[in-house]
Amino acid sequence: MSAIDEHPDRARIEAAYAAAVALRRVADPLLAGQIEGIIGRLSALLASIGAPVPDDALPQKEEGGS
Amino acid sequence: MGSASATLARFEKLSREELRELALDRIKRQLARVHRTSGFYQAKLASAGTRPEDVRSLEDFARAVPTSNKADFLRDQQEHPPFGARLSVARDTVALINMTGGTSGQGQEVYGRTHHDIALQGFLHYLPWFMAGLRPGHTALNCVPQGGLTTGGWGPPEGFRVAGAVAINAPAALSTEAKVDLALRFPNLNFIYASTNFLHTLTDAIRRRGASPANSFANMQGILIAGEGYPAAWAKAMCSEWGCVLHEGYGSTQGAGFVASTCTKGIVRKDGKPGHLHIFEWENYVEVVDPQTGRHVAPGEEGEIVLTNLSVLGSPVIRFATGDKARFLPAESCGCGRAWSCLEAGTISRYDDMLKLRGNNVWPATIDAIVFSHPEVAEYAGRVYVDDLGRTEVEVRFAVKAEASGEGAAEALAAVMAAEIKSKTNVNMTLRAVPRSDLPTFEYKARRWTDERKAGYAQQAKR
Repeated sequence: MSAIDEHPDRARIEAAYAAAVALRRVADPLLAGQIEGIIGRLSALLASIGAPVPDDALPQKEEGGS
Repeated sequence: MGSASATLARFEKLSREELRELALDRIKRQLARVHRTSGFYQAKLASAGTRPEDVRSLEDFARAVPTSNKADFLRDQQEHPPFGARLSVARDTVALINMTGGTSGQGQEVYGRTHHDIALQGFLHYLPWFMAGLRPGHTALNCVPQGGLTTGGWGPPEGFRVAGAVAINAPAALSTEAKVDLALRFPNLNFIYASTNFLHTLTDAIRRRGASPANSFANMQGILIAGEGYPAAWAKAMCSEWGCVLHEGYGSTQGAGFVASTCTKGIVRKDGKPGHLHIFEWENYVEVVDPQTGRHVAPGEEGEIVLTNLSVLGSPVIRFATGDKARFLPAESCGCGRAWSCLEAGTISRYDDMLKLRGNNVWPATIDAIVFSHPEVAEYAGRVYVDDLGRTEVEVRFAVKAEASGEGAAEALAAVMAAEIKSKTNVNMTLRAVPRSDLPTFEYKARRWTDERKAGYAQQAKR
């Protein structure tokens, strides 16, 4: 998997992702959906380059539901 | 290969072994996650006595993880409405609901999509379009009905946004003629996305105006079709009508977008090989299995597509038996250098489309291939019914293009096609030429066949 690990922009995208996750601290319900939208886009971007989907891509502890 | 994308180039240069390793790594993560978060998959794995850590290879995965199908999902949804216990995230992280179209008549599967999934859907729609030549700034006509509930309705507009292309999303409510009018307002169109059938309908409509698609849209870079199988002769005719490369994608709601598509070689290849749909194996792991035995088919054989989402979060499918039938081709048979396994273009159809006719299994795609191998045919419709004596009869009505309607020509063509159909299917069918206006115009997926036998038997039972 070296070809994936070596993706030249992976570190940059991961930094942007971490910055976006930090926006959750804004904790304004008016902005929460937009913030989750940005995080979702960045986690999908990571997935698109072959990186693992981050464990904190979802805002809460994961639990199944119906 | 020579992709213009550094990201895609990295997937393109992976060896077969590296690609399998990447897929396995993602399968392990996904299995561990759904085992933790989804009651449905916990029960599914428990039914086979499998723990996620038992899956150490792709062979283990195929052997130890049971398949699921539509009936399993519908039962789960009934027991745990509305998403079923297969939802693998907290309900309040669901940002969009997708449902399958319901055309099977069995019921609609429900999918919860997170923000991540919505973005991924857009990407999985853009990926085949990028491979087909769509670039930022291009103008694209989207002929697939948008919005609503299906991934096929939601994904494409998102995909065009991700592409940075100028999308003309033709509303479903527009008639074919109105869609032609709309397209002609943008003669610099670069790209069309349409169902297989609608490309046929659109081409027919433009020709009926006495115009040529290739002359009307001189800047067309590519056309990508999806949704239905087609004969090779038809694809060749479309390439020549439009003067551009024709591409095919295979996707579904279960796949969260496109699962596979043709490379730059397209469907109609200079080397005479059939078109190859390359599977995006790092996003969806695809197995092609014999539906009777569950074993992986050999290269060149047809089987059922079994799908596993590798990075979907909300309602991922794990070893989902799709009911889609396709011919499996090994990666190296394309010759483009990608190590991604392939499906043969034009061969994807539904197992449940099969008609049982006088003891013979007949797929509409077989009749499509015969009828549309005659370029003078504009459209056709088939009908299976019972006659007064309770016998199964099959009627195929067809219309020829205006320029091919010489005296006696249609009758001669009917005889030729009847013989070809008998030879391929072992079924005698009655072929009848009719005016084009007697046949329907199919707007999205073609439903060329009606089976009236149940109604016929019911009527006879009343006598």
